[in-house]
Amino acid sequence: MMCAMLIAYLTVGYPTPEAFLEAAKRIGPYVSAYEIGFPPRFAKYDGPVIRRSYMSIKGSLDEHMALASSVNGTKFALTYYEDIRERPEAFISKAASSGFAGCLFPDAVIDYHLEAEKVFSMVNDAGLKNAIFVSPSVPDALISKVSRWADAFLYLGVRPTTGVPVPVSVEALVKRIKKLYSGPLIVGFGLKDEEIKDAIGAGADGIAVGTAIIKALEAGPEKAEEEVKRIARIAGN
Amino acid sequence: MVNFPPEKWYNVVPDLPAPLPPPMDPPDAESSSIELLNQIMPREVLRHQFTVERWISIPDEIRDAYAQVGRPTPLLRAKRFEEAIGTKARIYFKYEGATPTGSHKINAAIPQAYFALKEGVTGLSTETGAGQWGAAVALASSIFGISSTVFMVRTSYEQKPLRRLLMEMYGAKVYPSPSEKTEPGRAALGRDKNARGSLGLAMSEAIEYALKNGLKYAVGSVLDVVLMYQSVIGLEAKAQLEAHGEVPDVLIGCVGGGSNFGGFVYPFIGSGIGKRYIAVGPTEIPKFSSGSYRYDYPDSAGILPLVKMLTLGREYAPPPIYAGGLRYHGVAPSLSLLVREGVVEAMEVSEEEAVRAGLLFARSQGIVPAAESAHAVAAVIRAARESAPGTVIAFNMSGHGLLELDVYRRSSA
Repeated sequence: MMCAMLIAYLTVGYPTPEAFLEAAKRIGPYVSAYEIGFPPRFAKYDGPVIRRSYMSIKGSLDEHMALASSVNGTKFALTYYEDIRERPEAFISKAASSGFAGCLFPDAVIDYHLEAEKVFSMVNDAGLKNAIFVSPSVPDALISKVSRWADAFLYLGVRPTTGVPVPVSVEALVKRIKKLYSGPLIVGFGLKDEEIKDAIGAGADGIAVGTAIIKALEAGPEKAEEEVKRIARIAGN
Repeated sequence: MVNFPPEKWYNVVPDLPAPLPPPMDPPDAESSSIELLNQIMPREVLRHQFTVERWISIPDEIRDAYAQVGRPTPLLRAKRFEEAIGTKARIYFKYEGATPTGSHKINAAIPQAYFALKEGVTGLSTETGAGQWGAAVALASSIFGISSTVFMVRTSYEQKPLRRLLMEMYGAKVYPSPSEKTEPGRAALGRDKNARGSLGLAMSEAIEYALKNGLKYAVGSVLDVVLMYQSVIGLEAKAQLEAHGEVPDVLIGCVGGGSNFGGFVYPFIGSGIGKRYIAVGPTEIPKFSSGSYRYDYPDSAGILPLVKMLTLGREYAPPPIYAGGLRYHGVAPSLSLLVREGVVEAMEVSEEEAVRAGLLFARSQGIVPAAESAHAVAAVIRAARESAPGTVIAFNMSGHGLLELDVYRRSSA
């Protein structure tokens, strides 16, 4: 079996700059890429754990970018488009000069679908790739349209918010997307252990893990490492 | 060709013109109200809410129960009504009043009672305004042998004793809301011991009651999953119109939270049938014309997650129009989006116009429309006047008004 991709989420500088860097280093061998979250004013598609992490960190975007630039490996800069909408090019160019491979805006398609393609094109113009987030409530026609821009991967969040377990049929959700899009598909948002296998079995190319890592990281970078190793095993890596 | 009752429910979400904004936790929340849904609603109902697929298979036990309550309901041509209003349009209506509880509400109550029973829950709790939803939950619960508890807005509890009696006949325990049974109820009574209540408050009471008593809460409208369960109306109507050799041009339904409208109209939108879709609300509760499109709570106590919808605000106190089923501050998220995107036209008609239209319908066709459905009838008259000869208009007669004849008393005198 081909190795499943594992995308690990970290909130920049959380819980402390040192612990963040240490965790990034420790989990590096097990992950395909990092998503590094830059705190928005309101992380509306995140659950309580990630929202809390955003609220607890201080510092400017420049300081956060400088910190994130010391993380080695493929990394994607994540923030809410709502916050950078006035000048998306500022965030995108900072991400480019800080060594990011691409950007991910969880609200771009859901809340700004009319201007999303313009932003995706700006990301490409800066030499970066697009990881594009869609939720199950994005209609088929729009998934087909925006997924053409997903030159990094398409990220399907199977639940309304991260880390909040509501029952969903992961297999049905993944199969629906696979009918519309043939590129790399990453699945995340509150995946339970057994759902990781369901997602891969239904044709997903990998999974994204956030809340579970942040929770573990609160007990120390070594716990984050253990958690990522555990998840990598479930994913068949 | 659709078998009767239909074998699948239809979910409009994959076919919407724009993404449906997901439900959201309040910005300052320490805990997640989305997570709380796990304790409130049957698991399978939640799974249907969050697993977006176009078609969902209806379990045989539910299809049997649909058959028991008279599905498919009739689709009739309103020929004498056409003559009465002097139109050359052909008017058809789906008659949901033909179910035992006299409205479409039973379509969404049956699956929720069934899925609650399947997971070993002993009973459902819910709220009701005029009593149609409460009666539907009471009947659905009795079909599957579980208990039901209904918080009925006090105004209706006192004004509509026959509805209350019907629920009790099916075995429901009915409390007037605000009640002493729950925290939101006691708080409302503390502020005003004669409080008349509202649908939003009764909803909050029913949710808290379910949480405290190990029951599940049955949701009557607004959420996508309810509109999906109601899609049996439109799927049947589509096949029935086909059998008549008709392709509808105009589709009309009244809107409280949006469940009968969505249930009737969405399957037509999904298959690209129809030129105009008209959602009718009451002038007295102007959520289409004065509501804002934003995240708001479906219930007045703010226990449920925020949803993005056209809303007059959860604190809004609806004026006492007779159509209790329309006295609600918001519009289902999917319908709000379709109105915003210009796919569905919104119309508002006054109680007076609705009652006049309902009376005319009763005199010409014999069927007495529920006060809510009379709003749809009024919109049909308006649409017929604007239509070219030969236009086919289809509307949902969401219920009959035989238990609420009072609303017609003044006008028929």
